[in-house]
Amino acid sequence: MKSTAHTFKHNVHVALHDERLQRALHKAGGGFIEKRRAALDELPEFEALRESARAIKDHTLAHLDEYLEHFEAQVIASGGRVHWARTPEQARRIVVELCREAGARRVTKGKSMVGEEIAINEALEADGFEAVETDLGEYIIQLAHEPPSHIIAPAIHKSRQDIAELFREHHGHHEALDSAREIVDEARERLRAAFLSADVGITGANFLIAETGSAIVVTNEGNGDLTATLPRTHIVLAGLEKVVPTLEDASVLLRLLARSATGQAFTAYTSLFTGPRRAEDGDGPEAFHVVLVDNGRSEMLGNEFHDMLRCIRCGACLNHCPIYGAVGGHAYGWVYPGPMGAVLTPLMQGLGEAGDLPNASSLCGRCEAVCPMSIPLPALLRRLRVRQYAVGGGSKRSRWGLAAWAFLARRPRLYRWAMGWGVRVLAALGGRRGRLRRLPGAGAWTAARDLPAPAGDTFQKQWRQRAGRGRG
Amino acid sequence: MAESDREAILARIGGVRRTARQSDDTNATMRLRERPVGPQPAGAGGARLQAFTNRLEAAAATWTHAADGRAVVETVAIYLNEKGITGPPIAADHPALQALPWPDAQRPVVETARGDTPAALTLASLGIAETGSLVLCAGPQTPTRLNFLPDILICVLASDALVDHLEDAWAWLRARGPLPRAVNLVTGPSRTADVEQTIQLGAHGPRHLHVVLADCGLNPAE
Repeated sequence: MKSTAHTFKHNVHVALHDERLQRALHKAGGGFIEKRRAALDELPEFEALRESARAIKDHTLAHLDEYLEHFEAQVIASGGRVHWARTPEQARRIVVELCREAGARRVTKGKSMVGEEIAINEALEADGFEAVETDLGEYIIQLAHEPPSHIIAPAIHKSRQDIAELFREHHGHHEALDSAREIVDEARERLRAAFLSADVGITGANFLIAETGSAIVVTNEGNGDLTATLPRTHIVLAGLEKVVPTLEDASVLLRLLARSATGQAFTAYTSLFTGPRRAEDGDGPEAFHVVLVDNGRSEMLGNEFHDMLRCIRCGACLNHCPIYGAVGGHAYGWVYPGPMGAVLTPLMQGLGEAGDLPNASSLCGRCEAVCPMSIPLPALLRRLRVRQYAVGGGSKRSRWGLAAWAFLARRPRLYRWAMGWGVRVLAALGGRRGRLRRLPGAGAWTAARDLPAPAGDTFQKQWRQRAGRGRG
Repeated sequence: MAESDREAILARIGGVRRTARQSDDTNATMRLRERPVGPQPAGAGGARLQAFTNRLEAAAATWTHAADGRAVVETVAIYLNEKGITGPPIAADHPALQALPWPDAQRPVVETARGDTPAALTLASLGIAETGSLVLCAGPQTPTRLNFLPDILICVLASDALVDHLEDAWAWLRARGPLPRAVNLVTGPSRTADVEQTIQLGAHGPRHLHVVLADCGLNPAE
């Protein structure tokens, strides 16, 4: 999809004034947090698992080329093929070519964030294939022609009524669907036909196992399994950081993934797919392909954003982010929202396009605190801000402000003198109430609240006085 | 063209990882050979069966115990009757299942699962106590579509085929040889929370999952 991250501020304005969205966000808000909390309360080993998970990923990334080559060799040994794509264009071309090779007409899809990243549906449709999303959330947003607003709950911004309206519009016939049950049944019936008539099935992968050449696909609906089993060809789309050495390593990550994501101890379906059907098998695809997508990942390897490659896409950082909770996923403008998106989008789409995202954070640190992979998200956001400043990005006003502050901060005497005056002026403006209703240049801030005026002296002055007393 | 992408990606990764690797002294070949096991939740340990059935129930599956083949047949009949299914379930041509003492009217029909199959009977290779999962392996007598297309899935699991942890299942699979095309760890019926975060069972896979824990020799591993 085309990014609208460059209009982030406008997107936010729209989101904050969208009553339906605000209702949906409010409704969704606490659920994930509570369920995760309850799941972790039952798992005293969480911290040990988290440390182990980090070590597994760090080790894997340090040997990434070896594990990728081993994975490739194992896929080939089990009768499959591996394709390497540096760019989204290359990945799209490979998938379209494979669909052509399979003589496909209809393609079913399991949920794949890399699929979103490379905009595979648009590419397939442009080449005359019918692409059908089968995860219920993805199916809903496909009908609505919208991008996902959450990486594990793509249609979290839609109310039951929104979905019922969409179904009526697209499925024709029938009276209004009322309950969630009716909606799910209707989708089940519709998608059944797609599953059974698809020629190619495309899934993502939560993990790739170097040891065995398997792709692990984790779902709750079972759509990934039907997608991987019924069509003639199964294509796995995966970022190349998805590889882990062994099934034992995947076990550690699996123990963290569902608990961090939905608060389940384990999802309904965790499936290993290894190669095409065997000669004696009664079902399964005749061809098995893995498309390894780079799209900037190998550049992150070893640089200051290396830690981001540990991400297992659980969505915990979105669920715990006050910014995401206020504006939802679409405001972020591309495929990945929330804190992980505010890091990934600028790295994949460029700071020119998505420079606002790393700034849209209070750096409160909840994301890092809940991340099962211990990714220092606030630090990564800061590094993006530094990078943005270094290349001359950001608004004129923010650059001017930072430059002025830097000028003062490097001249301690001038700084103390200026701050002393600043504090006195603000205190005087605050008057007897000790608060400022309006402050020139900070109108947006004071529109919703008063600014408490400084009382007394600057911090530095008070510090000196107290230190003096301490010595005396 | 694809070949050059492969070489370019690997060359770039190879270039940086040499510096990244200095702090890491285990090598890849060693890890692949030794397969170190990470932390495992203690909960499963002692009462394996209890842990398994607790997890199973937490995942909205149901289960019954069957002491012998006759009891398996009975429990299947009772369960299907409760669900309002009048005919026999479908099944793959599995000798262990067919050898059970079915009355003629209840004998599972050997048939490929279709889009409107009401109920199927399958065999699990293992049960994992840690997660309450059934391990279902694709094979000539255990086709994968049978586990996903029917509305009701009844799965027979030999009660001595329970293991504690995920890693025990991997060890069992390795001992059998190359992995099957698909290994499905199934934990409860299919579900979705994509409509307003309320859980609905039976999104695309079975709406109901019933496990029959059988004491008789049904383990397909045997």
